[in-house]
Amino acid sequence: MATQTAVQLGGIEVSSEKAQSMTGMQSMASKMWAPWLIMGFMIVMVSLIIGAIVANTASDYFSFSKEVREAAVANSDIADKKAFIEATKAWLPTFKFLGLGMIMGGITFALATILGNLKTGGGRVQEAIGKGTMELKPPMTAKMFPMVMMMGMMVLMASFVIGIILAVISADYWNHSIAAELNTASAGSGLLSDLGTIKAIGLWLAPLKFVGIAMILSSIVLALATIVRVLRFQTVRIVDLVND
Amino acid sequence: MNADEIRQAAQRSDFRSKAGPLLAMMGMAMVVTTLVIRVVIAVTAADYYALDMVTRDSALSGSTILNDLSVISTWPLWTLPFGFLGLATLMVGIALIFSTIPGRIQQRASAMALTLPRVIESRQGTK
Repeated sequence: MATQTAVQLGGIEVSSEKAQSMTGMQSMASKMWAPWLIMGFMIVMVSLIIGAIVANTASDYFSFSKEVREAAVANSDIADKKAFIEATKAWLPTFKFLGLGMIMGGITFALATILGNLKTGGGRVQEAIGKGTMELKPPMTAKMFPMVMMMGMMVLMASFVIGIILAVISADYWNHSIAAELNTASAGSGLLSDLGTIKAIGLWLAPLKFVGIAMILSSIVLALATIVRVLRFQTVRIVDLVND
Repeated sequence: MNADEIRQAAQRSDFRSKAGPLLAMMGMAMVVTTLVIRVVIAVTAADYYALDMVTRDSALSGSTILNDLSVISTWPLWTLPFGFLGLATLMVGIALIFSTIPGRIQQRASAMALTLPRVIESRQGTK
Protein backbone atom coordinates (compact mmCIF):
# COMPACT_ATOMS: atom_id res chain seq x y z
CA MET A 1 0.00 0.00 0.00
CA ALA A 2 1.70 3.19 -1.12
CA THR A 3 1.97 6.07 1.30
CA GLN A 4 0.68 9.24 -0.29
CA THR A 5 1.69 11.91 2.21
CA ALA A 6 3.13 12.01 5.70
CA VAL A 7 1.83 14.71 8.02
CA GLN A 8 1.99 15.45 11.73
CA LEU A 9 -1.26 14.92 13.59
CA GLY A 10 -1.00 15.90 17.24
CA GLY A 11 2.69 15.04 17.28
CA ILE A 12 2.11 11.63 15.70
CA GLU A 13 3.31 10.98 12.16
CA VAL A 14 0.52 9.75 9.95
CA SER A 15 -0.02 8.94 6.31
CA SER A 16 -3.16 9.67 4.36
CA GLU A 17 -4.10 6.51 2.55
CA LYS A 18 -6.86 3.98 2.30
CA ALA A 19 -6.80 2.07 5.58
CA GLN A 20 -9.56 -0.48 5.18
CA SER A 21 -7.41 -3.56 4.63
CA MET A 22 -4.95 -5.40 6.82
CA THR A 23 -1.30 -5.67 5.79
CA GLY A 24 -0.08 -9.03 4.47
CA MET A 25 1.58 -9.84 7.79
CA GLN A 26 -1.58 -8.96 9.74
CA SER A 27 -3.85 -11.13 7.59
CA MET A 28 -1.33 -14.00 7.85
CA ALA A 29 -1.21 -13.52 11.64
CA SER A 30 -5.01 -13.63 11.86
CA LYS A 31 -4.93 -17.12 10.30
CA MET A 32 -1.85 -18.39 12.15
CA TRP A 33 -2.39 -17.49 15.81
CA ALA A 34 -4.76 -20.37 16.60
CA PRO A 35 -2.71 -23.16 14.89
CA TRP A 36 0.43 -21.93 16.67
CA LEU A 37 -1.29 -21.97 20.07
CA ILE A 38 -2.67 -25.48 19.43
CA MET A 39 0.64 -26.86 18.12
CA GLY A 40 2.55 -25.31 21.03
CA PHE A 41 0.16 -26.76 23.57
CA MET A 42 0.34 -30.19 21.89
CA ILE A 43 4.15 -30.12 22.04
CA VAL A 44 4.03 -29.37 25.78
CA MET A 45 1.50 -32.20 26.27
CA VAL A 46 3.65 -34.67 24.28
CA SER A 47 6.63 -33.60 26.43
CA LEU A 48 4.65 -34.52 29.54
CA ILE A 49 3.89 -37.99 28.11
CA ILE A 50 7.55 -38.54 27.13
CA GLY A 51 8.54 -37.35 30.64
CA ALA A 52 6.24 -40.00 32.14
CA ILE A 53 7.79 -42.70 29.92
CA VAL A 54 11.33 -41.64 30.99
CA ALA A 55 10.24 -41.62 34.64
CA ASN A 56 9.04 -45.20 34.23
CA THR A 57 12.36 -46.21 32.62
CA ALA A 58 14.30 -44.43 35.40
CA SER A 59 12.24 -46.28 38.00
CA ASP A 60 13.21 -49.61 36.36
CA TYR A 61 16.86 -48.54 36.07
CA PHE A 62 17.19 -47.54 39.73
CA SER A 63 15.57 -50.78 40.89
CA PHE A 64 18.96 -52.44 40.19
CA SER A 65 21.78 -52.15 42.76
CA LYS A 66 24.61 -49.68 42.09
CA GLU A 67 27.08 -52.52 41.40
CA VAL A 68 24.77 -54.08 38.82
CA ARG A 69 24.05 -50.72 37.14
CA GLU A 70 27.72 -49.78 36.88
CA ALA A 71 28.84 -53.23 35.75
CA ALA A 72 26.24 -53.40 32.94
CA VAL A 73 28.02 -53.83 29.60
CA ALA A 74 27.36 -51.80 26.44
CA ASN A 75 24.08 -52.60 24.63
CA SER A 76 22.74 -54.50 27.65
CA ASP A 77 19.21 -53.72 28.79
CA ILE A 78 20.45 -51.70 31.78
CA ALA A 79 22.95 -49.68 29.69
CA ASP A 80 20.25 -49.04 27.09
CA LYS A 81 17.95 -47.72 29.81
CA LYS A 82 20.67 -45.37 31.11
CA ALA A 83 21.38 -44.19 27.54
CA PHE A 84 17.66 -43.55 26.93
CA ILE A 85 17.29 -41.58 30.19
CA GLU A 86 20.36 -39.41 29.54
CA ALA A 87 19.51 -38.85 25.86
CA THR A 88 15.97 -37.76 26.71
CA LYS A 89 17.31 -35.37 29.38
CA ALA A 90 19.31 -33.73 26.59
CA TRP A 91 16.56 -33.08 24.04
CA LEU A 92 13.25 -33.00 25.95
CA PRO A 93 13.74 -29.56 27.62
CA THR A 94 14.52 -27.99 24.24
CA PHE A 95 11.33 -29.54 22.83
CA LYS A 96 9.26 -28.15 25.73
CA PHE A 97 10.70 -24.69 25.19
CA LEU A 98 9.89 -24.94 21.47
CA GLY A 99 6.27 -25.62 22.49
CA LEU A 100 6.24 -22.65 24.90
CA GLY A 101 7.80 -20.50 22.18
CA MET A 102 5.03 -21.46 19.75
CA ILE A 103 2.38 -20.53 22.33
CA MET A 104 4.04 -17.13 22.85
CA GLY A 105 4.41 -16.77 19.08
CA GLY A 106 0.65 -17.40 18.85
CA ILE A 107 0.12 -14.55 21.34
CA THR A 108 2.31 -12.28 19.18
CA PHE A 109 0.23 -13.22 16.12
CA ALA A 110 -2.96 -12.47 18.08
CA LEU A 111 -1.57 -9.01 18.93
CA ALA A 112 -0.78 -8.47 15.24
CA THR A 113 -4.40 -9.41 14.50
CA ILE A 114 -5.59 -6.80 17.02
CA LEU A 115 -3.41 -4.22 15.25
CA GLY A 116 -4.91 -5.22 11.90
CA ASN A 117 -8.43 -4.82 13.26
CA LEU A 118 -7.59 -1.43 14.80
CA LYS A 119 -6.30 -0.35 11.38
CA THR A 120 -9.31 -1.55 9.39
CA GLY A 121 -11.83 -0.42 12.04
CA GLY A 122 -10.26 3.04 12.24
CA GLY A 123 -10.32 3.29 8.45
CA ARG A 124 -14.00 2.34 8.29
CA VAL A 125 -14.97 4.91 10.94
CA GLN A 126 -13.09 7.69 9.14
CA GLU A 127 -14.65 6.73 5.83
CA ALA A 128 -18.14 6.76 7.38
CA ILE A 129 -17.56 10.28 8.74
CA GLY A 130 -16.41 11.29 5.28
CA LYS A 131 -13.53 13.63 6.09
CA GLY A 132 -10.70 11.62 4.54
CA THR A 133 -8.95 8.50 5.75
CA MET A 134 -5.66 8.71 7.62
CA GLU A 135 -3.64 6.06 9.36
CA LEU A 136 -0.58 6.00 11.56
CA LYS A 137 2.63 5.61 9.59
CA PRO A 138 3.97 2.21 10.80
CA PRO A 139 6.35 2.99 13.68
CA MET A 140 9.68 1.16 14.11
CA THR A 141 8.11 -1.12 16.76
CA ALA A 142 5.54 -2.35 14.20
CA LYS A 143 8.25 -3.18 11.69
CA MET A 144 10.47 -4.91 14.27
CA PHE A 145 8.13 -7.15 16.25
CA PRO A 146 7.48 -9.84 13.58
CA MET A 147 11.22 -10.07 12.86
CA VAL A 148 12.15 -10.33 16.56
CA MET A 149 9.49 -13.03 17.04
CA MET A 150 10.78 -15.08 14.10
CA MET A 151 14.37 -14.68 15.34
CA GLY A 152 13.28 -16.00 18.74
CA MET A 153 11.59 -18.99 17.08
CA MET A 154 14.75 -19.68 15.06
CA VAL A 155 16.84 -19.65 18.27
CA LEU A 156 14.42 -22.16 19.84
CA MET A 157 14.51 -24.39 16.74
CA ALA A 158 18.32 -24.24 16.74
CA SER A 159 18.27 -25.20 20.46
CA PHE A 160 16.05 -28.18 19.61
CA VAL A 161 18.40 -29.35 16.84
CA ILE A 162 21.42 -28.95 19.16
CA GLY A 163 19.44 -30.86 21.84
CA ILE A 164 18.95 -33.77 19.41
CA ILE A 165 22.66 -33.80 18.48
CA LEU A 166 23.53 -33.73 22.19
CA ALA A 167 21.08 -36.60 22.79
CA VAL A 168 22.86 -38.72 20.16
CA ILE A 169 26.27 -38.02 21.76
CA SER A 170 24.80 -38.65 25.22
CA ALA A 171 23.20 -41.97 24.21
CA ASP A 172 26.49 -43.07 22.65
CA TYR A 173 28.47 -42.11 25.76
CA TRP A 174 26.18 -43.72 28.34
CA ASN A 175 25.78 -46.97 26.38
CA HIS A 176 29.05 -48.20 27.92
CA SER A 177 29.91 -50.02 31.12
CA ILE A 178 30.27 -47.32 33.78
CA ALA A 179 32.71 -49.31 35.92
CA ALA A 180 34.82 -50.91 33.16
CA GLU A 181 34.85 -48.22 30.45
CA LEU A 182 33.53 -44.80 31.52
CA ASN A 183 35.29 -44.56 34.92
CA THR A 184 38.57 -45.86 33.49
CA ALA A 185 38.65 -43.71 30.34
CA SER A 186 42.06 -42.09 29.90
CA ALA A 187 42.75 -38.44 29.17
CA GLY A 188 42.43 -37.68 25.46
CA SER A 189 40.11 -40.64 24.82
CA GLY A 190 36.96 -40.34 22.75
CA LEU A 191 34.80 -41.12 25.78
CA LEU A 192 36.22 -38.23 27.82
CA SER A 193 35.92 -35.97 24.80
CA ASP A 194 32.21 -36.92 24.58
CA LEU A 195 31.78 -36.30 28.33
CA GLY A 196 33.35 -32.85 27.99
CA THR A 197 31.05 -32.06 25.04
CA ILE A 198 27.93 -33.24 26.92
CA LYS A 199 28.78 -31.17 30.02
CA ALA A 200 29.85 -28.07 28.08
CA ILE A 201 26.88 -27.95 25.67
CA GLY A 202 24.48 -28.70 28.53
CA LEU A 203 25.77 -25.61 30.33
CA TRP A 204 25.07 -23.13 27.54
CA LEU A 205 22.07 -24.80 25.94
CA ALA A 206 19.80 -23.94 28.90
CA PRO A 207 20.36 -20.15 28.70
CA LEU A 208 20.20 -20.28 24.88
CA LYS A 209 16.57 -21.42 25.21
CA PHE A 210 16.01 -18.48 27.57
CA VAL A 211 17.37 -16.13 24.93
CA GLY A 212 14.83 -17.52 22.43
CA ILE A 213 11.95 -17.07 24.88
CA ALA A 214 13.21 -13.58 25.82
CA MET A 215 13.22 -12.59 22.14
CA ILE A 216 9.61 -13.71 21.70
CA LEU A 217 8.63 -11.84 24.89
CA SER A 218 10.42 -8.77 23.49
CA SER A 219 8.32 -9.07 20.33
CA ILE A 220 5.21 -9.01 22.55
CA VAL A 221 6.55 -5.81 24.20
CA LEU A 222 7.04 -4.23 20.76
CA ALA A 223 3.56 -5.29 19.58
CA LEU A 224 1.96 -3.85 22.73
CA ALA A 225 3.90 -0.60 22.33
CA THR A 226 2.53 -0.39 18.76
CA ILE A 227 -1.05 -0.97 19.98
CA VAL A 228 -0.65 1.84 22.55
CA ARG A 229 0.65 4.13 19.81
CA VAL A 230 -2.27 3.28 17.50
CA LEU A 231 -4.79 3.95 20.29
CA ARG A 232 -3.14 7.34 20.96
CA PHE A 233 -3.33 8.18 17.25
CA GLN A 234 -6.97 7.15 17.00
CA THR A 235 -7.91 9.31 20.01
CA VAL A 236 -6.26 12.38 18.46
CA ARG A 237 -7.76 11.59 15.07
CA ILE A 238 -11.32 11.29 16.43
CA VAL A 239 -11.02 14.70 18.11
CA ASP A 240 -9.53 16.28 14.98
CA LEU A 241 -12.19 14.81 12.69
CA VAL A 242 -14.86 16.92 14.35
CA ASN A 243 -12.72 20.00 14.86
CA ASP A 244 -11.71 20.05 11.15
CA MET B 1 -12.91 16.84 29.12
CA ASN B 2 -12.73 19.15 26.14
CA ALA B 3 -10.99 18.42 22.83
CA ASP B 4 -7.67 20.00 23.85
CA GLU B 5 -7.52 18.11 27.13
CA ILE B 6 -8.20 14.83 25.37
CA ARG B 7 -5.55 15.59 22.75
CA GLN B 8 -2.99 16.49 25.41
CA ALA B 9 -3.81 13.39 27.47
CA ALA B 10 -3.39 11.20 24.37
CA GLN B 11 0.02 12.68 23.63
CA ARG B 12 1.30 12.32 27.20
CA SER B 13 3.40 9.24 28.05
CA ASP B 14 3.04 8.11 31.64
CA PHE B 15 5.62 6.37 33.84
CA ARG B 16 4.43 2.86 32.99
CA SER B 17 4.74 3.26 29.23
CA LYS B 18 8.34 4.46 29.72
CA ALA B 19 9.30 1.89 32.39
CA GLY B 20 7.81 -1.09 30.52
CA PRO B 21 10.19 -1.08 27.53
CA LEU B 22 13.10 -0.22 29.85
CA LEU B 23 12.38 -3.27 32.02
CA ALA B 24 12.04 -5.41 28.89
CA MET B 25 15.49 -4.29 27.71
CA MET B 26 16.94 -4.94 31.18
CA GLY B 27 15.43 -8.43 31.19
CA MET B 28 16.84 -9.20 27.75
CA ALA B 29 20.29 -7.99 28.87
CA MET B 30 20.13 -10.25 31.94
CA VAL B 31 19.23 -13.30 29.84
CA VAL B 32 22.06 -12.61 27.37
CA THR B 33 24.49 -12.12 30.30
CA THR B 34 23.44 -15.53 31.63
CA LEU B 35 24.24 -17.09 28.25
CA VAL B 36 27.68 -15.43 28.12
CA ILE B 37 28.55 -16.60 31.67
CA ARG B 38 27.40 -20.13 30.83
CA VAL B 39 29.60 -20.21 27.71
CA VAL B 40 32.59 -19.25 29.90
CA ILE B 41 31.74 -22.01 32.41
CA ALA B 42 31.29 -24.46 29.51
CA VAL B 43 34.92 -23.89 28.47
CA THR B 44 36.03 -24.65 32.06
CA ALA B 45 33.81 -27.77 32.11
CA ALA B 46 35.29 -29.04 28.84
CA ASP B 47 38.81 -28.64 30.31
CA TYR B 48 37.84 -30.35 33.57
CA TYR B 49 36.14 -33.37 32.01
CA ALA B 50 39.00 -33.87 29.54
CA LEU B 51 41.00 -35.18 32.52
CA ASP B 52 40.66 -38.84 33.49
CA MET B 53 38.58 -39.74 36.53
CA VAL B 54 41.57 -40.72 38.72
CA THR B 55 43.21 -37.32 38.14
CA ARG B 56 39.94 -35.49 38.85
CA ASP B 57 39.23 -37.47 42.03
CA SER B 58 42.77 -37.20 43.41
CA ALA B 59 43.09 -33.43 42.94
CA LEU B 60 44.58 -31.72 45.99
CA SER B 61 43.01 -28.86 47.87
CA GLY B 62 43.89 -25.52 46.23
CA SER B 63 44.67 -27.12 42.85
CA THR B 64 43.40 -25.73 39.55
CA ILE B 65 41.34 -28.88 39.03
CA LEU B 66 39.39 -28.34 42.26
CA ASN B 67 39.03 -24.67 41.43
CA ASP B 68 37.53 -25.64 38.05
CA LEU B 69 35.20 -28.12 39.78
CA SER B 70 34.10 -25.36 42.13
CA VAL B 71 33.28 -23.04 39.21
CA ILE B 72 31.41 -25.80 37.32
CA SER B 73 29.41 -26.77 40.42
CA THR B 74 28.60 -23.37 41.91
CA TRP B 75 28.14 -20.89 39.08
CA PRO B 76 25.25 -22.76 37.42
CA LEU B 77 23.43 -22.60 40.77
CA TRP B 78 22.95 -18.85 40.48
CA THR B 79 23.19 -18.22 36.74
CA LEU B 80 19.97 -20.03 35.86
CA PRO B 81 17.94 -18.20 38.55
CA PHE B 82 19.51 -15.00 37.21
CA GLY B 83 18.23 -15.91 33.74
CA PHE B 84 14.79 -16.56 35.22
CA LEU B 85 14.96 -13.15 36.89
CA GLY B 86 15.67 -11.70 33.44
CA LEU B 87 12.57 -13.41 31.99
CA ALA B 88 10.54 -12.22 35.00
CA THR B 89 11.77 -8.64 34.46
CA LEU B 90 10.70 -8.87 30.81
CA MET B 91 7.26 -10.11 31.86
CA VAL B 92 6.89 -7.25 34.38
CA GLY B 93 7.68 -4.92 31.46
CA ILE B 94 4.90 -6.56 29.43
CA ALA B 95 2.49 -6.21 32.36
CA LEU B 96 3.32 -2.49 32.71
CA ILE B 97 2.68 -1.82 29.02
CA PHE B 98 -0.54 -3.85 29.19
CA SER B 99 -1.66 -1.76 32.17
CA THR B 100 -1.52 1.42 30.06
CA ILE B 101 -3.96 0.05 27.45
CA PRO B 102 -7.21 0.45 29.49
CA GLY B 103 -6.36 4.14 30.02
CA ARG B 104 -5.76 4.60 26.28
CA ILE B 105 -9.08 2.91 25.49
CA GLN B 106 -10.81 5.23 27.98
CA GLN B 107 -9.20 8.25 26.29
CA ARG B 108 -10.51 7.04 22.95
CA ALA B 109 -13.95 6.54 24.49
CA SER B 110 -13.83 10.11 25.86
CA ALA B 111 -12.92 11.36 22.39
CA MET B 112 -15.87 9.45 20.89
CA ALA B 113 -18.24 10.71 23.60
CA LEU B 114 -17.18 14.26 22.79
CA THR B 115 -17.32 13.97 19.03
CA LEU B 116 -20.12 11.54 18.18
CA PRO B 117 -22.97 13.82 19.38
CA ARG B 118 -21.52 16.60 17.19
CA VAL B 119 -21.30 14.25 14.19
CA ILE B 120 -24.91 13.16 14.72
CA GLU B 121 -26.06 16.78 15.14
CA SER B 122 -24.31 17.87 11.95
CA ARG B 123 -25.81 14.90 10.05
CA GLN B 124 -29.30 15.78 11.29
CA GLY B 125 -28.69 19.41 10.36
CA THR B 126 -27.86 18.52 6.76
CA LYS B 127 -30.98 16.33 6.32
